[in-house]
Amino acid sequence: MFQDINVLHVDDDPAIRDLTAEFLETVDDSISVRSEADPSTVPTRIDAEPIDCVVSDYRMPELDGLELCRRIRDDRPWFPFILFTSVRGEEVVEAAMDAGVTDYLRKETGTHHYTLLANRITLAVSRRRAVGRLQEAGALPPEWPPRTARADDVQD
Amino acid sequence: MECDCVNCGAPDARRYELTVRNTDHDEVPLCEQCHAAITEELAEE
Repeated sequence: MFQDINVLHVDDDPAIRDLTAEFLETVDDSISVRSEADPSTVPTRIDAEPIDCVVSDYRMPELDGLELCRRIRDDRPWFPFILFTSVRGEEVVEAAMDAGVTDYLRKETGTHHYTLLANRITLAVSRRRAVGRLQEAGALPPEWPPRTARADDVQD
Repeated sequence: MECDCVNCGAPDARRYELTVRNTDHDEVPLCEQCHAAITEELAEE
């Protein structure tokens, strides 16, 4: 039986926070959503609460989703983090990958993207849990997979 | 004033009232298609 998944959804818009929680929990009853307006509190909440995955908007006033991902990655290299944004463009995808997002999902017209988001969350958390089980069994080293160099780590 | 749809980012949003999870949200910028899809989905739940 699949374990429940606790998601922390980060968005500065209160209506989108409620809509995302409502639709995610409706399409997949194993998903439970907590919401956060202030991205700067997310690393603390991850430490204090049983959160399995962060879903974050990109554009937020104080701290954007990519900077939030970088802050999480400092101490949690493999924590499931999904960037969920309406911002389009290849440069956004490249920046998201460079920041270390687990996955990137673009918002589309209508409500179908909430079903896609639920699937991506389940996939990201399942992978992370599988790796954790293998590490606990000693089948993988604690730092697997090895961290790859980010573009900003590469010196000329 | 024109604004972007908060659900999909389309630039032609209008402001609607929306009740989600027993919370009334005023002036939520949504495009016509997202507003229709969201209200239909919420009505089914």
